[in-house]
Amino acid sequence: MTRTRPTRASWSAAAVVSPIVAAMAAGSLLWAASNNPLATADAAPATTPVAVVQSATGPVEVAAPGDQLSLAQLRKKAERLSKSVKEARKEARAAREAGVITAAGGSTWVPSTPTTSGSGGSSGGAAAQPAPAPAPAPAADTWTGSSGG
Amino acid sequence: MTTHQDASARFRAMASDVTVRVIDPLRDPSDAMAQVEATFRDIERVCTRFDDGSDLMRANAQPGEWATVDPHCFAAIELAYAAYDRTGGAFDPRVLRTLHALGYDRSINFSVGDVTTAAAALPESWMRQPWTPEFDHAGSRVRLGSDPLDLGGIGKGYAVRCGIEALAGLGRAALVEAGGDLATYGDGPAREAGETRAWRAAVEDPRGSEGPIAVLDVSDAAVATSSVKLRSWRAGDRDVHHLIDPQTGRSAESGLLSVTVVASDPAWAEVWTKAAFLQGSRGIVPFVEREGLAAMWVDATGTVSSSASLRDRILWEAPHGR
Repeated sequence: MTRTRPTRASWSAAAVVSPIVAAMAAGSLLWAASNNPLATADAAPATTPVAVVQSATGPVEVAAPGDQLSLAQLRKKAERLSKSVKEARKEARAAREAGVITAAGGSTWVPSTPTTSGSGGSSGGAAAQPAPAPAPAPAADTWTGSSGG
Repeated sequence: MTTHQDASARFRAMASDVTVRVIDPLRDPSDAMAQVEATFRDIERVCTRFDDGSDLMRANAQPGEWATVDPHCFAAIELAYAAYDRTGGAFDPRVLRTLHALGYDRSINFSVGDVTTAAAALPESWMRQPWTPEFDHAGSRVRLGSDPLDLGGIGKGYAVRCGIEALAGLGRAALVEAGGDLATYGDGPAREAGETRAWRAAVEDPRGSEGPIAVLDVSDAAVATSSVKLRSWRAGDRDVHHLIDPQTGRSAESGLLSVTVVASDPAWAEVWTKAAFLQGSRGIVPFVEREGLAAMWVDATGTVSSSASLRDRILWEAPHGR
């Protein structure tokens, strides 16, 4: 097997894309719940955890258990969420077109790209985190290179 | 504070700077180190293609007849044939006519840059017959066949092998390096009391950046690199390099810039790096996997790759986008 090394770009891509994906997923659930009469009639029990989602385009949305909302309020809320989801999808599409492909679980792969002076390659990353500063090359005793046979 | 004794010598041979080091010598290494230099000069004298009087060129000049050659020349030719046979012809020293046609018929100082030669026409078709040299061990005689040989790379690898063998048992550790082909034994020179550490070899970036693309642990091993970085020039109206593809009789258009191989023997490291280079960017992966080579290579797009067998020897790699 051969390998290529992770790229710094994968970390930054994950940082940008993960909130968008999370917003899409959770926003879709909220939208579905808000538009399902059965779901609104059977409100979640008080022990259900509160779902807090940081939308990529708007304020924090809180779906507290036991909320009693009128049909008109629910429709209004669903419209807002639908708008947020559409915008999030638009951003995700733009990210995909820019070459960042998002996979389940927040992993990202950046297509292998040539570089002018460093190493290229594809990578698999699990979470967004700052890239560590590259360690300098240790002192070498000798070289191998172009003057070989 | 340096806690070891380090005996070293440097000289110039085979168009390369040669370094010999013995760490913590058990006895005076002067004679052995002088012997290494003498061996390099002997091998250069009998294996060079730049002197019509060398043993190699005399044998090249009488292809259908037995030629008596120096034992070093005999050993280098026999090694070249073993490499040809083992690699199925991927390594083939019968490239002298092509090198001459490209104007590389004398020792050229490529480090000055922008070398241009007057090139002769290359053959339109390249019909290569199987190589079937004959060897007379008792008489140190060879019969080469119709195509003259170039022993440049493998001759240097053979010299490094002879050099490190001459230093065996002389110290805690030793290194022989000739223009990027090298062999070591023991641990590298320690910088602190009680410390042991590996011999470290930096792998040159064939794209020309100052820093290495990797630093490898080369303890008790040999390393060679084939690269188009230095020995590339303009031959007539063509940009060429010295790594000739035996399938085409021309400079290899492999999509690779360099291949580095770590092996147990410096001559075979030289063989494998050249054979791997000639597989090209598409063929090198199955080739190094099939042969189990510890290899690192850089393709024309700048991507650095390495085989699984090399991983344990990688001490450091250049970060992406350095």
